Amino acid sequence: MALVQRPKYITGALIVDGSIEADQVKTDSLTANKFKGATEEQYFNKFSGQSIGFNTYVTLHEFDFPTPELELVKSQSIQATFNGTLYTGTSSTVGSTVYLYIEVKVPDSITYRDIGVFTHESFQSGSYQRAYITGNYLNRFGTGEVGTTSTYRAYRNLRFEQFYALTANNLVANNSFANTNDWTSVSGTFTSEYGVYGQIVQDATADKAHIYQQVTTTAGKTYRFDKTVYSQSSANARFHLSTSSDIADAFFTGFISSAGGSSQHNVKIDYDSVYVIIENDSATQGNLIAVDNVNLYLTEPRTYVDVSTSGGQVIHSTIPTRIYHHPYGSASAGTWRVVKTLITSIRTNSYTNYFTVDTEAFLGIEKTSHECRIRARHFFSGDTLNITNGTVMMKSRMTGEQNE
Amino acid sequence: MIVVGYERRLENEPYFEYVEDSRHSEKEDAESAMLALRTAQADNEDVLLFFYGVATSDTEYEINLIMDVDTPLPPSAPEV
Repeated sequence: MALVQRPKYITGALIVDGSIEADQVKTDSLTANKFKGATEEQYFNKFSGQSIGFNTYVTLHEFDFPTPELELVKSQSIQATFNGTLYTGTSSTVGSTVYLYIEVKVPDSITYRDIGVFTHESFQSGSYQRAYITGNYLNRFGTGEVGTTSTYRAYRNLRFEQFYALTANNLVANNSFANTNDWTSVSGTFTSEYGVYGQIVQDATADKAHIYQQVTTTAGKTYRFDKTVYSQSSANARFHLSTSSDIADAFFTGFISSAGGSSQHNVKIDYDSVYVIIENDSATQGNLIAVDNVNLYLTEPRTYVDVSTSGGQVIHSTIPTRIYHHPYGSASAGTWRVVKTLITSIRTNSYTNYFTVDTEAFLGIEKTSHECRIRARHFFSGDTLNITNGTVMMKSRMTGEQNE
Repeated sequence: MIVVGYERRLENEPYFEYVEDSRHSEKEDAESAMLALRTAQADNEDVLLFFYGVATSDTEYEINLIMDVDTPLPPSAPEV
């Protein structure tokens, strides 16, 4: 008889009065009051004494960014600051520019990192295409370019949108009231005016006139709820999302006055079915509300980015395309990546001047070390800039990303 | 599209300019062009650094990598 090894399950909580040792622990969620090991790291460097002549690149400081502890992929950033003095030898005001550069040496290893599969949305001015991916992928970007594994494109307008409404699929039927179909009228009079908007008139009863329709939703998702009231209304309007056709069961209510207007709300819905209810908020007979464009759209989180098309479009117009982050672009070993350039215009006082230059660079997520340097130059002709003291702060921070 | 070029010192403001040398769709071609450029400009004392850039239009680019003028040429490079 063959030996069959059954999976071992524990139903319920496992309480261990000691330690658990394992090569790997896989879990969807890990909660801890204290992590041992440097999940967040910060390292300090200091430099001083350099002199920078006119229009020359001077290396102020060379240093290594340490490999993140535990070899975890971490978000890495560098902050560089220096205090400088400049003696101009004149009582006159002199204006010019100081440059500060943070640079990282290109490593020999493959440097690109998977971001995800992006969908083309539109073309933008200046030879860029706009594309998106569902979810939050901001931490997979950093200084440098994006592209396929062997193409490199500049990118801009990287941003996250928490509630992007999928407007192609409106859950509300007959949302612009071309007729009175799909809505159930309760008390009052419900009509389609000219086939372009809905009108709900209060009658002589004590119940406030309202209409409703049931829509199917997915519990736990967030939906965008749109509504419009026109100014010919003589009553205020209330727009409810309810678990039943009864307004008393509403879990969300939006209000628009009789002066009219439109509003959008993002509402998290914890039910598989909801009722959209539009209520005339007046008990006076003859008072009416004119309503239109009542929409309920599922939303999703999206990360947007504009990618340069110069040299060729990397994200296909109709086929979603996987793209990668290239911290070093078309790099070859021996070159330096300028991860940040700070340009500061300075106007001096008489003779001796003091100033501070400060900048920060985000390198993206990585689990390797980096060779780095800080360089500076200035364009005060004939003068020398002296660095009295400077600091470098390196930070590594867990972001939840561990993609290889 | 990879841009190969260099930064040149100027006598007057703004005291420097970036000079685009060539554009390439292949990384290997860009590296060959960089080697040729460095060889050609080896005696030019006004060169501050060499750079690779990423094109953002037919005429514009972003500099993303720099190479110091004193970076040694690889062994396979021609004698200068």
